[in-house]
Amino acid sequence: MSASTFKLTLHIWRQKQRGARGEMKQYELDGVSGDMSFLEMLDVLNEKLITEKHPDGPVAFDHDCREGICGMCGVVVNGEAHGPQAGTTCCQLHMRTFEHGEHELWIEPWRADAFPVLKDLIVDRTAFDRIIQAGGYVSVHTGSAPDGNAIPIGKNEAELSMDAAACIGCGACVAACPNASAMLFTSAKVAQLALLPQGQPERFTRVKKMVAQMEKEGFGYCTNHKECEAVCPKEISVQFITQLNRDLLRASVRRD
Amino acid sequence: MATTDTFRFTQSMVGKKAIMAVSGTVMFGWIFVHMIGNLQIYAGPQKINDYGKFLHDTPALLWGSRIVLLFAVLAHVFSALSLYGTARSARTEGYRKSNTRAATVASKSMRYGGIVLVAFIVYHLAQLTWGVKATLPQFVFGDVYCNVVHAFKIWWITAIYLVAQVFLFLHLYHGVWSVFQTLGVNSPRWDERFQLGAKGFAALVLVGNCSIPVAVLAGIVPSAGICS
Ligand code: HEM
Ligand code: FES
Repeated sequence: MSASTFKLTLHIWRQKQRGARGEMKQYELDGVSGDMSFLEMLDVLNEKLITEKHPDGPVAFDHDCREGICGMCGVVVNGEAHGPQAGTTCCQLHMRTFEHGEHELWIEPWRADAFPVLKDLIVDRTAFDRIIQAGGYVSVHTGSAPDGNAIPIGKNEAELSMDAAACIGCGACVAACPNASAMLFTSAKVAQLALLPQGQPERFTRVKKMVAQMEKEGFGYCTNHKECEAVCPKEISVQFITQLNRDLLRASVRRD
Repeated sequence: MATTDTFRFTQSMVGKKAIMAVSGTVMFGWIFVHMIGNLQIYAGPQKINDYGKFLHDTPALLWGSRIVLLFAVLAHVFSALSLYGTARSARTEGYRKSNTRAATVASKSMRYGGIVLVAFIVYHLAQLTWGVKATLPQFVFGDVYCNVVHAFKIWWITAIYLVAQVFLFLHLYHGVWSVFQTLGVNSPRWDERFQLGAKGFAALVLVGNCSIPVAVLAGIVPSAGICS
């Protein structure tokens, strides 16, 4: 346990509301403990801003589970989505990561026109929901619970599908992509179904619909930098992007 | 994008990127053959001038490849511009502080490197294909060998070619691997091999193409008594 604390200089994006002009504001924060999570550090800052009656008011940031599964908490820290630690959401990032390094942090919201800033560090990620909605239904038998092993699925396919399904839709892939592309997210959502027998009936119409929606939302295209994979807290592989490209090509030459 | 009922592959970003991959592959294939052709300069003036004559005597081959290449370049450049537009408008407000983890010098060079390549292609054609006198006063149609020698004896012309080749190297270093990703043929099993292959081919083109101006400038390609 690190009993010692340290001091941080924070530069945080402050923006009153959607469409308003924002700017980076500087705050000094003392008493940061390495055991705090990144979000707890922001909580401490907010407590200070409130008790000091700071004219800027507390910093608005998104969060929910604080255990790395809901995907709400993403912000960009020193130019890196979810901060410097690989495979980790902001809420799971501990301040000890910063204890011996830079004591000056730049904290910004996800930057993509498809993710408009609502306030300070909070962005509207409903574009992702619409991409998923565009995928439509999956033909499954309803009624009584299906037999456990009625549909045999290979271990590799099952594992791969689960890897894709690990996506929590946090938007870090878009934030980190130099083109603000949503290809990693969309491809994970396409692949998790395309890899399973249950996903086959609508497989090729689904990929077209989801890509069409992705483009309508105004995300950029993929230039294969692999920045998305490098920041993804669930370490989703760009191999799903390859699969999306393949499925979309196949879907376009099929008649259905 | 229109509705999904009328989903047009070539209108989508993924489709336009596929067009870049296919046209890029065509250009890459041609550049490789072009390099092999050029290396014949080491076999002396007769050999390479005969090769030039052979191409001009086979108009179907010459014009066939010129037309295919023209289409490839146009498709490549127009897709690049269109896609660049979508990327620009996808993030109109940038980060105050940005950092990259996985992107390489090569992957970041694709766009400005592409502009360098367009400029170089025009210069190169003007100098050694069209024979624009301002770019090479001693140009003589049909004398491939001496045209090349006269050009590369001038150090700054050699320098221009070397710089362009470095950009081509970067373009192919990222681009040739990227093709497999874009066309959906990559896989975790093959990824490393595709990457190695792309780097290897890029390096081969770099070394092969650069060797010629360097050899001319160093006097390894003989000119005394051949080119006046
Ligand atoms: C004529 C000028 C050129 C321009 C403006 C240009 C531009 C570009 C751009 C912007 C990209 C996309 C990069 C990305 O999305 O990451 C690209 C990709 C590519 N370029 Fe070019 N390029 C040019 C010439 C060439 C040449 C001469 C070759 C081949 C020898 C070539 C081969 C490729 C390949 C193979 C790709 C990869 C396509 C993919 O990502 O799937 N390009 N180019
Ligand atoms: S708050 Fe849920 S993932 Fe961070």
